[in-house]
Amino acid sequence: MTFERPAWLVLLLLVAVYGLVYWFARRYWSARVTYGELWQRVANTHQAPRALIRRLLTLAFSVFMLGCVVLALAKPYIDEPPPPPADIVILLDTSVSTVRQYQDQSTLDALKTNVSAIVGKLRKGDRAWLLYTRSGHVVSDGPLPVSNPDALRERLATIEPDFYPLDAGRFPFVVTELLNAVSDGAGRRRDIFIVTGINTSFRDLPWPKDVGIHLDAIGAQDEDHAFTRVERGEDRARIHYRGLGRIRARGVPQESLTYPEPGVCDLVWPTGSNEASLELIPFGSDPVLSNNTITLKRSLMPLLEVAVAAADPQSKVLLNALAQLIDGIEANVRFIEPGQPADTQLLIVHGDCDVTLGKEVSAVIALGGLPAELGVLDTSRVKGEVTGTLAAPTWLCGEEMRAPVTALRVDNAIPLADMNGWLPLLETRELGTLIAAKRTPQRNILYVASSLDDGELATAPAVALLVRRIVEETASAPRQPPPLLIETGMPIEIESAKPMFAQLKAPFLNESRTWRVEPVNGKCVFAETYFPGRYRFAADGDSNAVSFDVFWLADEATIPFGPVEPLPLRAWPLPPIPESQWYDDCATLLLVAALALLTLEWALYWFGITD
Amino acid sequence: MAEATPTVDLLAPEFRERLEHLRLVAQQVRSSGRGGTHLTRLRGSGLEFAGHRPYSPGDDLRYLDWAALGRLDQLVLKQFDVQGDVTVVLAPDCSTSMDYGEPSKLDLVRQLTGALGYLALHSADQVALAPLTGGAFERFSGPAHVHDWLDRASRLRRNKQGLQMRGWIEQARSIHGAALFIVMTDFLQRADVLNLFGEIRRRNAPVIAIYPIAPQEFNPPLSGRSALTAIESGERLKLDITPETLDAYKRELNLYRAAIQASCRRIGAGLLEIGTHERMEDVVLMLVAHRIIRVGRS
Repeated sequence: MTFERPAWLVLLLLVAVYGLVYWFARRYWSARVTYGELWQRVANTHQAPRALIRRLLTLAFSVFMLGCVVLALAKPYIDEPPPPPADIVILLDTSVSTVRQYQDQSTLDALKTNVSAIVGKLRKGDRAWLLYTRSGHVVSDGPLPVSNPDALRERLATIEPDFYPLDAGRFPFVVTELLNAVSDGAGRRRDIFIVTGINTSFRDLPWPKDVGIHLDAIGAQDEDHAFTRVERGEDRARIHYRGLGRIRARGVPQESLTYPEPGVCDLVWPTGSNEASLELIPFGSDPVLSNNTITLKRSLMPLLEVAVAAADPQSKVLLNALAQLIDGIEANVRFIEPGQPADTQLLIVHGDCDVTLGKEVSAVIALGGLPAELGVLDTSRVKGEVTGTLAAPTWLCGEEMRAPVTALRVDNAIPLADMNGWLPLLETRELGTLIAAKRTPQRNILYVASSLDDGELATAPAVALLVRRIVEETASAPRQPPPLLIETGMPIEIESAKPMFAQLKAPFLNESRTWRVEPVNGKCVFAETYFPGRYRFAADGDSNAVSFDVFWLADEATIPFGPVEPLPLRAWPLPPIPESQWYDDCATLLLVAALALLTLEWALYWFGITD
Repeated sequence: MAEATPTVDLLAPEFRERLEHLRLVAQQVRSSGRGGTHLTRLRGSGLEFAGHRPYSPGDDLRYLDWAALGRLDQLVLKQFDVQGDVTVVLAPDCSTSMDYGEPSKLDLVRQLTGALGYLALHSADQVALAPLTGGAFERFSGPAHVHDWLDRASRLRRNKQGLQMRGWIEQARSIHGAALFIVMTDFLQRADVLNLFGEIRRRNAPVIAIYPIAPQEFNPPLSGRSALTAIESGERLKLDITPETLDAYKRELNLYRAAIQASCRRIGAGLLEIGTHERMEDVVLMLVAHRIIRVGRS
């Protein structure tokens, strides 16, 4: 049994001190009396028998009761045993549909990346096979070089889209191949990963019960059951969704919830993790094969509240895409109707709409709407404290944008000669055609002019980049992340007759830890959990990467510490998080035990058994 | 251990002056006929009738006034004053248990010994200091030795040897003539003390017991877990002091006192309980009220 908060165990010393104080504080006080004969008679009739046993009973009850409370405060839990080595089979979707574009690459390339990620997460001793189709035939490749990423990448690079369709009628053969590829077990865990770019239904297939099935679907989304919006909070994420089915999530108090349409689900960040996942399982579908999964990473930056106002539905299309991009950089985005007040930190206005600025607004991004308005930033209808100080550029900017300004609807326009203060944002051209922005000294408001000749969607990444800048500039103190647990994974055994030293460095913590390991039977074994507790991530990154060096000293007495043979070790994924319910159950059990002991002690005292 | 109090503090001059107007009164004291001015109450004819006092259980029925019984239908005793030569034997208990209380029982006994001896010497009687804890009786006679008496009384100290009854009784038998025995003890060696009273009564001499009790003995200032040490025996006892145990102790103490009273009454010894917190003037008034001291010169 280990403890989540072992520091509380120090209180056990206080319990011991309490026991000593109790024992010695209840000693007899000397007094001189006369009539000793009379006192002896009183003692014969009133002295409680077995006083020592009664005192010991009282002391034992008290110490046990306080000990239970201290253990409950330390939040005990039982370590999960390490999982057995696993044999996995990865089914890679190479169907024709994988040639379609997904983000900035083909879906097949994205799937290959995911295969690499899956293989990269394997532990020492795990084995992996890859199944895919080529020319309509199932190809089994393996075992994969799980410990050599370069070799794995080269092997994946040879896989191309298969233009020979594999219809559903032949699909069971694939499953048969999958099962044939998986070993018989013999104490090893068996898993099948299906990496696909479509929302394929696998629920009618005869999957064996002792094989884990994992579906990793890219770009597949069931329109009837979809996540619509995500809000990240300090201690939880709120997910908006539509559809009808069940929710299975890590961090949700109940294992399974029925969600109405539409609904909101609060996803509590699991203890010790920065990630939480939630999946929607439509009714009638196989929970194992659900592909409506969303994994959220807890933001380590302050959340940015963004309000988006769009003048027309067409603008909403643009802003919706924009919101998704902003959502990727940890912002809460909500749409407001023209005319509504904006009470968020950032306001994005598109088109010709009335918006009232609230006091919280520290930045405004105003976007042009139609090509006819190219180069025109109309902020005259933005109301609030800054009304009258807003300005629109009256320039022809960017080599690509040579169209003259055709309309100017702001009286106090800035002359071209005063453009020196505008931020050069031309480096963002590859992301879009954002042209220029300016920060005012009064409210740190950023005005942006954009051109939309490449299509409205093309502007979105540039604006998202701007939003990230705003996030970084308006960032206050980073939020406190949850406790971080880093494990070195499988024990490392190094043959050595001399004591060895290990050093674990966590750059983002600005900490390192060095310890000495004595050889046992000619081997030094390194396996430990380091840096438990709460840490504030450095501002320049949120990586969990750690380095782990093992070295020995030629002469411990004369040579100072220093790495001799660094042994690189990547950071393993966060360890399995004990169920929160278990924490609560164990702590509650101890508290109930303490309460029961207290009640029993009072009962014994009441009936005169103890004093 | 309480230090001896200087003479001047033992009895204040004003108090000594008041004592000179008082005299000891005793019942059934046999005069030696040596011409002392002490008024004794003797049984027999030719003596001056001094008055009546109510009968109390244990009194000698031979002194009942049968005529008064016929007239008043009340039991009263006749008392007579006789001038005679009487030895007043003052027997203080200086054992360890007397050094208890605030003020201590020994302080009260020391002052009372001084006062009663002073009174007797002024009446030209002989006074014998006979500590129960042993030692030879010291005799004083006449007003000229008043100062020596007070000085000796002030030097009464605690004696760890306990009561020495055998030697004390032997010396008491050597006193010839009329004698009045005043024993000041806390009765913690009750059997020995009552045996002593019996010996005194067998020679037909009056005995008066003065029983000092400290307030701390009535209401012991104890609570909680206590390791009690009995002063008189040195025995140790561990006891959890609660209101119940205190009540039980008080009940035992009352029974103890009642037993002493009954024993004294049976023997024919007078008994007077005095709290150590009482002022000496009040103690004298109590002695007057119990007709141990009488106001007026002979």
